[in-house]
Amino acid sequence: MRFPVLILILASLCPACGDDTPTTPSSTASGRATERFDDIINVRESKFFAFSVGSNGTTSINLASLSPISRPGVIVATVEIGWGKTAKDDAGTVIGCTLSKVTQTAPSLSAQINDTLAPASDYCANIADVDPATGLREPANFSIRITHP
Amino acid sequence: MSATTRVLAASWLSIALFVSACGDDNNSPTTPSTSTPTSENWSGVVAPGGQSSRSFTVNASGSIAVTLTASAATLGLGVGLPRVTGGGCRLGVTVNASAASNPQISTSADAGQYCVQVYDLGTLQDPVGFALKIDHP
Repeated sequence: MRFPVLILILASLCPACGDDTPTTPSSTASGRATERFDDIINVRESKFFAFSVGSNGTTSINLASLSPISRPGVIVATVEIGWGKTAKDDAGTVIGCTLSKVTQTAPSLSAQINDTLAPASDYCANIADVDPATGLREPANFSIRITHP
Repeated sequence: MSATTRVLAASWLSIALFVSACGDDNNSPTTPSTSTPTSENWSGVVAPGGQSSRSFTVNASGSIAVTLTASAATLGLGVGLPRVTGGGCRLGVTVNASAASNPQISTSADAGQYCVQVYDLGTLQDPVGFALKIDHP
């Protein structure tokens, strides 16, 4: 009776070996999403874009481009970008963006705003042409990147 | 040595062999690769009133350097984000550039997708060939 017992012991050891496939390390970008908010902004106008944050972490907002509508190149101007919570009417329709943080900036390829936001589905990013002295003198294409968990 | 003893000895030897087969298979998880500097070369032609663009990926935050290395004319040179649809660039940084060995554009950038664009400044009468180099993380 001892031999069958030992066979059982051996058999129980077999599943302990086998597949040693390495686990895939999560990359630093794992679980982060980048959304694009591309549109046209007119002089003295503002526009917003709703987005969700899925988990705790840093949300980055980057005004990357302000460019002319009908020719190549860039527009040299300072505009206001920011983030906040969407405002809704009684029917639940998003009608605006109530800003929590803003900054005046020219385009850059590095994020101008980096903040830790709690998970929620009612965030918004906003762009506004607010300063007649340094702002837009013509309509502009803009590109904003929003990177969040 | 009795038959039972031989069976037991053989069995324990087998167990030892199984156990030694487990353990470190030198398959420990690979660490994430750090971004190494990348240099990309690109050449093309710009027609009068035209533009030409190419996208590239920056794997980590760092500096993007663009060098217009060859061109028979002064051209517009810019870096920005690829358009979401339709191709081309949404430029964030531009210069008027003549061919040189040092970067005409050097700018910090977050990781992500980018594009470089070469365009006519309104001065070309004929198509012009160009070559450029993009250095990035």
